[in-house]
Amino acid sequence: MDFLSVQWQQLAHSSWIMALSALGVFAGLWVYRRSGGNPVMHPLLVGTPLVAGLLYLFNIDFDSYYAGNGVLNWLLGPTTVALAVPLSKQMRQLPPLLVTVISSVLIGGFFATACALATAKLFGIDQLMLLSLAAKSVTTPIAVGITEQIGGLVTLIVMVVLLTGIAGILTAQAIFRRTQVTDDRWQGLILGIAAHAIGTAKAFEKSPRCGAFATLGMGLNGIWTSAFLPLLIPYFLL
Amino acid sequence: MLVIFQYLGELCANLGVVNLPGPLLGMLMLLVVLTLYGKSIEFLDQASNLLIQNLSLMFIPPSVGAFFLGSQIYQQFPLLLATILLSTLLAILFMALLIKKLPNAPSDNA
Repeated sequence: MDFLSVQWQQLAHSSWIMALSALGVFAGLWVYRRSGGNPVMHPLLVGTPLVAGLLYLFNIDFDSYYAGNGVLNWLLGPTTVALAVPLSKQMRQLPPLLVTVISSVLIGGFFATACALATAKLFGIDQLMLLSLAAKSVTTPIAVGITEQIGGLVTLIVMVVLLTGIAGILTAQAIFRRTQVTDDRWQGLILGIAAHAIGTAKAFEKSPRCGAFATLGMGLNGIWTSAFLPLLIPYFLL
Repeated sequence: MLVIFQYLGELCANLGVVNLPGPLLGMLMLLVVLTLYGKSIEFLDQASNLLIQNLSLMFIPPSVGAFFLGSQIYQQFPLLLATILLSTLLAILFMALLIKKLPNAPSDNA
């Protein structure tokens, strides 16, 4: 029962410093809404530098800030479990389109990750970075778990996942037009697999059905990637 | 309830049943249970909605860490950005073409 005492430690270290994180989110959300939902103004892209700036300003070191956010960090676990709830609602849509959905997730999800690793390798990105970007197409709570497991930097993967999502929604429309993928179900599925929660949010703006398929793509790809990635990664290390 | 499933997951992960993160295993177990059960459970819906809606807040602490990494990593940052952009674009293009090729992909614009 080792993990129980580790988690208790995590909770016990929480402190007022969490208020900084809340401030960051509120400021981020405010800017995002004022910008009319511009993806480059994503709340995390705005809130994170703000909090980092405050830490520098008040001379708080990162480790004590991170430890002070124990409750928030701990909540990520139950939230990962909570993803099962919306996903289970989408499972009912699955049977008639099973073959397409499953093969897209299996092949597409694998390609997305393998492609990221190959590109990183090609650009000569070093090993620790490679490990920290491998899970980039996976929704953040799952990506954090996978990255911890394969030994990457959790601090980096959160940013990488976020940037992936933004890159995805910025490019997806043009690609769908070029390749004539017009069905909103498949657009949603692709957005969910490649651009996780950010793609899913975008898909919901399009139509509920598009969003539902994005949820499905995101959830299934998260599960699938966590299964194959630890086995794939050795081939991309020296 | 969510916490119970997480602990069930972590317990299995600790016992070395399968090599996956504990919370993810917990999610899989809950997914199986909910899919079999087939109805929605209100308190579970509410709790999970609340958590999922506030995900941004939970991601602030780790992403702030990206500003406190060594200079070695910053030197590689442009490459990292290029990798992300290029591979994401390729992945979407690949899947779009894939879906066009799959036989059972009905297409309508209803």
